[in-house]
Amino acid sequence: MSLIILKSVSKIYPPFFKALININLEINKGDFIVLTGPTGAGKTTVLKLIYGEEKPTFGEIFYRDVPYSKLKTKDFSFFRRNWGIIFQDYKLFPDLTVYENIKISLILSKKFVKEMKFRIYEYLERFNISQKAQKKVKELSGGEQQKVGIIRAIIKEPEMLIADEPTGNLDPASIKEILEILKEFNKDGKTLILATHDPVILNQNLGKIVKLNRGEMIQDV
Amino acid sequence: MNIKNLLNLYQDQLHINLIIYPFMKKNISDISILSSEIEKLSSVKKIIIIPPEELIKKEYLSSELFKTFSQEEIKSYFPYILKIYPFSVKDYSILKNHLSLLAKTNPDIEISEHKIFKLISLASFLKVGFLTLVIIWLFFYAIFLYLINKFLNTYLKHQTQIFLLLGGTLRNFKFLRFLFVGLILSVAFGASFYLFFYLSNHVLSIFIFLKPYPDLSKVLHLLFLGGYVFFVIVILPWLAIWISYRGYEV
Repeated sequence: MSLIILKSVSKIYPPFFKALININLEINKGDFIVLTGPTGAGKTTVLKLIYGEEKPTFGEIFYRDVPYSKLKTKDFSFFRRNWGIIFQDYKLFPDLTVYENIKISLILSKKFVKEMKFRIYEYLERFNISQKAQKKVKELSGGEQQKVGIIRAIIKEPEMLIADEPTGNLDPASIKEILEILKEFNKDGKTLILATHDPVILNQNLGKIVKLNRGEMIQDV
Repeated sequence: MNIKNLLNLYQDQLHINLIIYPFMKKNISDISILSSEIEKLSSVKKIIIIPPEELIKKEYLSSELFKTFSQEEIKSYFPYILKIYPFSVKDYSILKNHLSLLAKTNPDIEISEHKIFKLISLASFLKVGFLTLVIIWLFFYAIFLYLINKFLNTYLKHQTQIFLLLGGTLRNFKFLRFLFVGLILSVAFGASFYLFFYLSNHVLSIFIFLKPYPDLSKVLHLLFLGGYVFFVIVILPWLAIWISYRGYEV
C-alpha cells in the first residue's frame, strides 16, 4: 500500500497562476523522495498539498488510499501529529523559548511525555544549541532557528518527515550533520520527502529524485 | 418605568380633556355629535361633557365681572370641555394620538392632560424606544463581538496556523478565547448591573410611583434576567467566536 499518492494534481492560484500541472507521484513507506528544481518550480506547493495546507485545484491526493477530499480538518490534525514538518520559513513561535517550541510538538503528538525534558536536551546537545534552550526564538540566528525547526519535527519520531529546504541557512558542517540525521531517519524505514535545490544534498544520491520545472514534473528518477 | 403603578395611584382620574373653544359658535348639539363620534373610538370608555355654565360656576369669577358683562357674554368666552376616559393605560396613548390629530386639524380644539399623565405617553414612547434600543444594542453588541474576535484571529493568525500545522485543533483556541472573552464580559456586566441597581435605587426613592425592574424578589424577573445574562455572556460570544473561526482551519 502506498503512503501518499498524487493523482493528476494541478494547483492554480487565482487568477491564472499555474503552480502545478498534472503531477503524478507515488510515495511508498520508507521512500526518500527528493523534490528538486529551480525557485518557483512548485516544490513547496507539492509539500503544502501533501501536508494539507493547500488543496489541489484538480486531481486527488491519497493518504493510505484514503482521498484527501474525504478527510475532515480534524483528520488532518490527527495525521500531522504523526508527521514531522520542517518549514522553509521555520514557523516557530517567536516569543516562546527554544525549549517551549519543541515541547509543544511533543505535547500535541502525545509522545515521550514522561522523558520530555531529557529528550529535548538530548536533541539540543546533538545540534549544539543546548545553551540556547531558554532563549526566545526571536533572539536566535537564522541557522539556529532552522535547527530548532528540524528538532521540533524529528524529535517525535514521525512516520513521515516533510522537509522544505531544511539546509537553506546552515553552514557546511551543519548541513553534513543534518544529512546524516536524515539518512538515519530513513534507515529506520521511515518516509522522507525533501524539497531542495542544494547541490550538496542532490549529489549525495539519497533516494528518488523528482525534478520539477514551472509546475511540471520533468523527471522522476 | 412601571405604568401600572401610575394607574393604581391615579385610578379613575385617568382622562384627557378636550377643550373646544367657542370661536366656531358651537352649540350643545354640535358638541354632542362630536362627543358621540369620539365615543365610537375603541379606546374610549366614557365621555363627560362639561358645558361653559358649569365652568363659570367653578371658576369663582368676581361679581364685578357679572356686573359688566351678561351671563351669556361671559359664557361665550368659556369653552366646552370633554373629559374623555380611556379603557386602560394602553388605550390612553392611543386615545391621545387620535385626539392630537383632531386638535391639529382643528384650531378651535385643544387637548389638555394632567401633568402626571404626560408620563404615560412618555413611558409608552420609551417602551417602544427601549425595545428599539435593545434590538439596536444587541445588534451592535453581536457585531462588536464578531469584529473583536476577527481582529484577534488576524492578530494571532501566524501562531494559530503554526499550532494547527503541528497537529493542534481550533477547539482549544475556541475554548481559551471563550474563557477570555467570557471573563471580561462577566466583569463588565457585573459592574454595569451594580451601577444600574445603585442608580435605580436612588431614582426609585425620588419617584415613588416607579417600581424597580427587574424586581429580584420575583421569580419571573429573575428568570428573565438569568436568560438575558446567559444570552449576552454565553450564547452571543460563543456564536461570535464560532463564526469568526469559520474557514480558518488549515
